Amino acid sequence: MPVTKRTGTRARRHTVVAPAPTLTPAEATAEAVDGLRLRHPELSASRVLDRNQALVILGIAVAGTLGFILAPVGTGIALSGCIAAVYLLVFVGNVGVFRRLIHTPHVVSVTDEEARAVPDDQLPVYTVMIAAYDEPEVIATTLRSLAALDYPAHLLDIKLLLEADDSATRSAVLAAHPAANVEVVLVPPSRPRTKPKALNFGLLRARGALITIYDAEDRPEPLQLRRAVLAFSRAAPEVACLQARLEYHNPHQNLLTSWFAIEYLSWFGFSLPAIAGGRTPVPLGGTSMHMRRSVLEKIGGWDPFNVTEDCDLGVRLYRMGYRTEFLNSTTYEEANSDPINWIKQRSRWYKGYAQTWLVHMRHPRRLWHELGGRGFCGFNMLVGATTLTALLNPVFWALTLTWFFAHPTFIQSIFPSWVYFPGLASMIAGNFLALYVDFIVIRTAGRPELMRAAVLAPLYWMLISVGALRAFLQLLISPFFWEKTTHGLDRPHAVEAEA
Amino acid sequence: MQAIALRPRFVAIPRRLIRLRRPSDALIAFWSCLVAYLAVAFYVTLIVHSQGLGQDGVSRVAIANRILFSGDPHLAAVGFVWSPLPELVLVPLVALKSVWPALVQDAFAGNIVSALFMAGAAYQIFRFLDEVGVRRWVRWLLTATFALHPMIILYAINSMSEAMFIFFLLLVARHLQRWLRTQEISALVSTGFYLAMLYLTRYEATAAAAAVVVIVAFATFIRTRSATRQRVRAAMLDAFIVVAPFATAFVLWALTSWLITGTAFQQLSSSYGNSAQLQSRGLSTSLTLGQELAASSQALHWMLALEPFLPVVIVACVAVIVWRRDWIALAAPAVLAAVVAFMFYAQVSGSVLQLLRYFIVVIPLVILMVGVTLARRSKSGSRESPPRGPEHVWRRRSLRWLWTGGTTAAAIVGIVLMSLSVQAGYRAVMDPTINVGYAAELQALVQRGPLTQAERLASLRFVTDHHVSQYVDSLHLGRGTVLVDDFLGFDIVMSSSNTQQYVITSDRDFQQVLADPSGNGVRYFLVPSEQALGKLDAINRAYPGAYANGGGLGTLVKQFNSVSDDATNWRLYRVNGTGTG
Repeated sequence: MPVTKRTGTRARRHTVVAPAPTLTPAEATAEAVDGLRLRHPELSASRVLDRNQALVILGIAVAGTLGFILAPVGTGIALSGCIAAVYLLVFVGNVGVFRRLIHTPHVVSVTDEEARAVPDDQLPVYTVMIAAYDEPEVIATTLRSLAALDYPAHLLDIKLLLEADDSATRSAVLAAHPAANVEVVLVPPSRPRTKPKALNFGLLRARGALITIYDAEDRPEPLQLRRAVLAFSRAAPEVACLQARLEYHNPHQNLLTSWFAIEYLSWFGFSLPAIAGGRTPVPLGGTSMHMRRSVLEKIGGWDPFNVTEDCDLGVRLYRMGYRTEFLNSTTYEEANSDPINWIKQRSRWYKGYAQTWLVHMRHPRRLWHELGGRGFCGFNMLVGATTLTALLNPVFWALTLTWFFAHPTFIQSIFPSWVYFPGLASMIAGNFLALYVDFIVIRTAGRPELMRAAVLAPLYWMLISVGALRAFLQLLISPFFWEKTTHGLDRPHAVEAEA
Repeated sequence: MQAIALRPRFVAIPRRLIRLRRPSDALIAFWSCLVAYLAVAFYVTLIVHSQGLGQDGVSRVAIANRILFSGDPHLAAVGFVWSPLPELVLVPLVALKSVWPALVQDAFAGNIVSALFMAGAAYQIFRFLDEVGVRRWVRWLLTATFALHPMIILYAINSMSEAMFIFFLLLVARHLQRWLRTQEISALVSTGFYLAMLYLTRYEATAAAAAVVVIVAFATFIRTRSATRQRVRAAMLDAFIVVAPFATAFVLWALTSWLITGTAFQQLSSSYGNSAQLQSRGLSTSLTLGQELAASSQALHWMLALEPFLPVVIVACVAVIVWRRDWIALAAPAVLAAVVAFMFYAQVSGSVLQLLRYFIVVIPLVILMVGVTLARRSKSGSRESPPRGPEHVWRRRSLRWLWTGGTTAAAIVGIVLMSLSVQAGYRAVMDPTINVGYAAELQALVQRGPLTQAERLASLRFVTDHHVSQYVDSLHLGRGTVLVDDFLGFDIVMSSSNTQQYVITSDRDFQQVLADPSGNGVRYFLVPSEQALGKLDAINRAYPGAYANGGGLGTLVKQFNSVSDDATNWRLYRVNGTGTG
């Protein structure tokens, strides 16, 4: 359903909600950590598996082991058949997304003139939260980017969420002389030490009717908040969240940042808007998502135990009847330029996706009821299958290569032609589509210079699989550990001015 | 809205309403063509039983049949010498064999598919003319001129792959045109995917792909406003986007062929492929200069026979495009022209048989060029004067009657030209020196009076095959007992009521059975006479003299002499050392 601009509508005045009753730091910490867990235990990732899920997994493991002992070939065929079916379904889903993607993406558009034309007295108080931990190098830049936001200073409620024991960042903030509307909020140290917990802590003190979050190294487009206000005032009441487009400012630093940039162009510029238009929950980006505070409070804030709280929040919003739309405004981020650092970040994402999938699949029937058939399939494809296929891809690449060069009989025996041909077809067509989408994306985004990276994308997919493998191991060992991503690795001369 | 402003005679109907009405026009064209083509096909195939109008088409039904119903049904039986799509689209229809046996035994499935795609081609022509801005009645006239061309009707009803090829070619041209006008990425992507389909229909698609890539790269290079390096990159990127699906189809088809048969390009190297066929007919693939000149003059003669107005149309089209400086309008005709040029080259260089059907693309090419010439406006929005005269000036002087008169005169001229073109086409397909091999059978179809010898023979094609098939069926043999190479024997197998009694070329154990027929349960084998394509028959090649004396393999049971002009006789041998039937 395309969003039509209702021109002439004036921005609705947002009510400024009174600040939350003052809580002691201990109470606030308890609320930030356990709020969701106590109120909606079934939606919290504080437990990785619930009992039924554990029983199902155990059952499958036992049946699989017995199967391999008693009837190895039959079990192998069943396994390869199931996996081939997953790949085929993912491919069919991707074709659906592709068809939407090459047509006009589903993005809410607010022009510069419209954004500037909203009178200041009709703007609501806007809370901007930045969770920073151990980022003394970038914090001064952060404050500069925030100062560049085109929004009345007295209506801007900036919360800088720092860990209380992170003195380096704290002194860097003080040294940068923050403006009067920047409130430094110290989050008392407690477990789990995650960004969503800090955000929940900040949410308790937020004054704005609208809330957004940025990462420390972000450079939001200056008119973004004004655009969001206008877009919210025009949007249907169930639209609770507007996600701005995320792009990287350093795509040319090295091959890795080029790949990463293509991935983000594709994800936030095309795929997610296409998916959002298809009545499917979308994972949000970790930053530049704009929300109505009332909704955020109603759905219980962020899940401090989920390491991709953004993805979880997107799904939770949709389950509770709200929708996410995409806004035509860009925030520039720093693409991770170091492979090790990148793999750490990626494995956190996949770990979080797996957590999110497990949380929401605790009661599949209820999820189906809440999301509808299409949303349910979309969720499984986007959150479940993305992680699973990233994990399985290298296995199948290896099997295919082995088959081509050695023709071992065990492969032939577990891949009868009714598994082999659909599997082979979806592998070839799926990989083709993945590559092809990248080319279309860089073409449409007007970035033909990224072509070389797009050609080499299969190498990037291997890197992704390494991240997925690491995520899988971590999920078993330390599910809540937040792998910190180091920022500030972009060389200053590689920085491009945003358009 | 500019488009509306150019037609002040009408109330400015909202664009959306026009959009809603127009597809129904194109759909009417589609359905009328489909019904008409199916009616003719029904008459020709199921009432007159004339199957020889499209031998290759019949063999495609046989291939779809062996994919599903042979003794060894499997998808790879589709074969790798020719493109797979024309066979694969037949499979769902062939699957209905038990419901309506004529679909397979009379190969009517093939007729349905070609009628469907030719009607689809008419639909594409209509849509194209609409998109370039041709008046409604001119659209109808041009679409009718296409759909009623005797060559087009012939290929709409004879189950060959030409209809499918024209359909996808027009889709490519239409979407390329749309991309050039609107720059929508979806149009470029569609062009690419239709090119891939085109390749999987016929290998001539390669010429169209080359033309599309050049046009796309050139257009992007010209349009991009940036540093030269960035322009080159953008051009490469667009060229890649449009050619990638085609290239993937190309590689995959070659790879599949290599995995299953061990050869990537069977159409070049197969013992049944194009070069082998040329050699078996005693034709050399390298021509002398004189032969080349003769071939080119013949090709030109054929093109003009199909479309006598071709030179006039080319001149008019180019003149109008140069006058309007609407270079985009050149693109769609250029794609079709590339295919014609390629076939011309192939004909002249002696690399394909000299057949009229290879020039069928000339017909839609002329229609497209006339359409581009008569377009009143370009969709890029620039205001153009109507090519047929300054109508708007006349209207301004309130001389509406004159304008109406002009339109009527133009309509009359148009209808006269159309009937001339249809008549010329009729003469071409009925001329045995032009429509080699098919004209006689067509004559036999339309002739009321007594037939000539040639016409009588032509009308009896496939009759021998049916005799063979009926005879073998009457022996009531078991599964896998009759060895035959279905390269020439496809119709024998297809029209049989017991296809599983045959061991055919696509069966995975064919080579093994061929090496030791009696050891593998074979009791009979069928061989065609060793002339022309009969030399390519697998049994004739494996056992020299197999036709003449059984090649030491068996004893003659029955000879079936050809009753038609096909000249292939068949012999049924009983394999030595096996009991009587």
